[in-house]
Amino acid sequence: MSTEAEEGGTVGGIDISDSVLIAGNAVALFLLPWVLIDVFGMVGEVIDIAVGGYSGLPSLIIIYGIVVIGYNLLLGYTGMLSFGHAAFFGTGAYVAGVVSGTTGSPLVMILAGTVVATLIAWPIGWISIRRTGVYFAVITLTFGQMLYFWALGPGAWLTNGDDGFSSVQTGQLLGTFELGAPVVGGIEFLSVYTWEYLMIATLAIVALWTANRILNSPYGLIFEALGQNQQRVSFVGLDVSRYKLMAFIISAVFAGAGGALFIIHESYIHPNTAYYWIQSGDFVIMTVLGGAGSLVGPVFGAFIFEYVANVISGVSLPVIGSIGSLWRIVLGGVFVVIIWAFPKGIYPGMRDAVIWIVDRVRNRGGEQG
Amino acid sequence: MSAVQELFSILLNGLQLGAIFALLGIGLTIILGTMNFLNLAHGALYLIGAYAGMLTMRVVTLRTGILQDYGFTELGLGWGFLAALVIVPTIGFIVGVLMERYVAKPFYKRPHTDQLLVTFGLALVVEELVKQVIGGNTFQSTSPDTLFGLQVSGPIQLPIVGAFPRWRLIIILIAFIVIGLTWLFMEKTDWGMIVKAGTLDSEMVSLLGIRIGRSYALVFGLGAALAAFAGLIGATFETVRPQIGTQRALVPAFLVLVVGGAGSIRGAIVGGVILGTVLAGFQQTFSQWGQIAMYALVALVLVVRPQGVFGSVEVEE
Amino acid sequence: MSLLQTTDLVKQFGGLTAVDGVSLSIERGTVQAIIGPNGAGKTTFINCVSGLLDPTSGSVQFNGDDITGQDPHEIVQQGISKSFQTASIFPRMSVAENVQIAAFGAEHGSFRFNFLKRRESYDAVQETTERMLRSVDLWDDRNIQAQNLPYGDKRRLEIAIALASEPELLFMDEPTAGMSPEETRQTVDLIENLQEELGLTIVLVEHDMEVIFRVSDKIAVLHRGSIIANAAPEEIRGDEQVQEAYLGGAEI
Repeated sequence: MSTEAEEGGTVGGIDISDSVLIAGNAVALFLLPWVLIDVFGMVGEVIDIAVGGYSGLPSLIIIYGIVVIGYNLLLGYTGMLSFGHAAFFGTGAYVAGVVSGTTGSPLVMILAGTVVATLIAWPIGWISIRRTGVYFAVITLTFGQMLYFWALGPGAWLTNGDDGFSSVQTGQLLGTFELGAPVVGGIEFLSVYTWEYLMIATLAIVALWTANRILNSPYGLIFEALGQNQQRVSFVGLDVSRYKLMAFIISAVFAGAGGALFIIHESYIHPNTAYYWIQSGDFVIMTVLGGAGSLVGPVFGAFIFEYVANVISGVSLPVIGSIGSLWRIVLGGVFVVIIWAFPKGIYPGMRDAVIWIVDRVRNRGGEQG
Repeated sequence: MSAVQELFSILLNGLQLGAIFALLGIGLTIILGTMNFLNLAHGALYLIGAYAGMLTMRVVTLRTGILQDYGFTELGLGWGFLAALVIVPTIGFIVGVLMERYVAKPFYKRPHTDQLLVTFGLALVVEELVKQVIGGNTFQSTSPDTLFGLQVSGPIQLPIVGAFPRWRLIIILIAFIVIGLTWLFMEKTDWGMIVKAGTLDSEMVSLLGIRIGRSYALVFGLGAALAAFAGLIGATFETVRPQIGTQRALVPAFLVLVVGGAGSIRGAIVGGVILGTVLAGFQQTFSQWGQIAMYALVALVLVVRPQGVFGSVEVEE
Repeated sequence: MSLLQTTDLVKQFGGLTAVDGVSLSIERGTVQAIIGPNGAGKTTFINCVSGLLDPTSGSVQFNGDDITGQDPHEIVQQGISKSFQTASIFPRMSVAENVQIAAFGAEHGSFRFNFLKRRESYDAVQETTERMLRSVDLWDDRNIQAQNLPYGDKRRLEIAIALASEPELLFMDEPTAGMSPEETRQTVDLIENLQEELGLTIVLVEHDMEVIFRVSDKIAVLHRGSIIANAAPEEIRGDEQVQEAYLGGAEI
């Protein structure tokens, strides 16, 4: 037996590390709205710049977080750069929206959106994975754009075209809980903790747990191997296409679920937010910004991206004035610098920096002693 | 409109769209072929060309943006199309050389995905800068009335096709002259041969003692000048907005690249014309399906002929 | 019956015939060397057998089954494994993980993999990994990132990866290329051990004649895509045709 096998003990069928992971993330997700709205809000009052989040922002961050957790399995591990994941995000959203006309159950909407997104990922992935590198990026972009122009034109009977889809009728969660209502009523401090937030946060934990398990299963090992030496993978007897397709489809499941949550949260979607290739590009930015190849890094990236897009864009600075839509320049610039200087992304970059500093300090201490 | 008439009209429109696609594709493909560098900011060069062209040709009224905030209401030289024909490619060339030096060079040894990512970021930055400085609004297209005393505006009666915008014919003419010159340059001059040899085997070329580094800057400049020129042409018949770089130029350039094959100028020309014709054909018949048909064609090529119509080398990861 | 049998194997690239009608039969449990000058078609031949290239014509039979034109992963699953000329490893994974992947690959029915099951809980895989790492003497280095190994160790790690696929036949493409004399000696010992202990059939492409003549049972000489001799080492040593073709008359 290897030592690795001995390290992982289990309690009641769930690994200790799993329960730690779940608990840790649950705490983080519980604190997110409080930090974002109250703490940042207080800071904002002190420095007299509005840097506090608003009540819908935590949900939005987590929704994109779910998408990029999945996307990262593809980009961060197998190294396949897809510029077409909006195809699955958008499909999840439109399907959930259309389904809401029949049944408003949020869980049914999410399920339907995810399933259909997964189903279209199968043929798209099957064709796309035949090509590698740039060609893979272009072919995925091609499929995304086909759906974009479909949603704008021929598919308008379903998507409402350029006017956007707004006939979303989300009902109560499990037939009893109003999504917009706070879980605990009457307390001002807890008013941002709505049933919707609870639902989205719970799904985010499920997403993190699932991704973590996938990464720790043989699949995770193979995905990582594919990103490093594809030829060797096939020369140990593993069918490369099969595992690439699996990585592609798994990432689409997350994107589809994220899309369904998005329409529940926003009650509106336009082809530009659903399918346009810049949306796919945003997923890439979030993932790389936060740190492709680490489990929670991309979520961190989603946080930065959405925070900059929604809060910093509203900030008014003394000399420069309103930042407004300058946010994309700031973000684009930061992105370029990150790729240039920290190819691994902010999260692993910070981790490396901390390790480096600690080593430095320790070595210096050694010299003096 | 008879079927034959329709067909010829589609071919003419296809040539016109295809010429622009080809100009974009040639730039992208020689940069990829020579330096093995993938430039997602290629659309930004088109954007720069379109704005530079518009501002050279005429004086525009600013409605939003930083310049307008500071009291500038009008911007532009108003020197006309012929001046733009000289100025715009020059600007493109300079921007290209700078880009090679400061953006591409540090990334030659990095994976293609990193190159895609960094130039994608750059493309967004350029688009936003234009939006912030000159304004996010849409400007009308500008085309000249006369060139060298000849009328170039209004419709012209063509055999079979009937009335056709005269300026569009001129565009086809000018674009294919530039494409032809580029072709001659690459095929018939020593320098073009070096670049072509570099696309096939850059190591060999440097072993022969040719300073490949300098040609890199020139190739990048040439590719950028062609993209800027495409932008200038675009600005004479389409509205100009900050989004045209990513919407109208970048994606078609990549489609041309994969259809034509990486590193092949001939492929870029043929690929551009094929895609332009397909797009024009569908736009005139089943307009809603135009873009979808074009993308479907590209997907088909990628699956059945991965190296592109004329490509011999496939680009690796 | 021989373990591997190629019949009239031909591979053409455009007008160039790299492998020209090679019929070779390799007996179970032997070490078969393939030698020849550069460009003789050795690597192309191996690539045709291991599935990296599809032969233009001819057939490859393994254990009596026709495996011509199958994909590499299918051929590996049949029991043919390969170590590459340049150490083909997973550079940013640990030494143990490198071998684990191959051990998972050997669990043929890959469809049985459960997305959510931890890889530590596959006992057979862990066991294979440990056995293979011990056999190439890398067990103590199992937690090191593979790219940080010295070159000789990388080559041995690659052999461990190839072994973890539990092959019956192992292709080794210049296993001692770029190694120090000490590393070469270790590798030769390793090859001899593998053959004796595991009963492995080994096909060896090598330039180091000392290594060849020491470990081989049979040596096939490839010249311009064809086999001009295939016999025991002592016979090859005295074969004039071989000397003529291979070294332009120089003494081997």
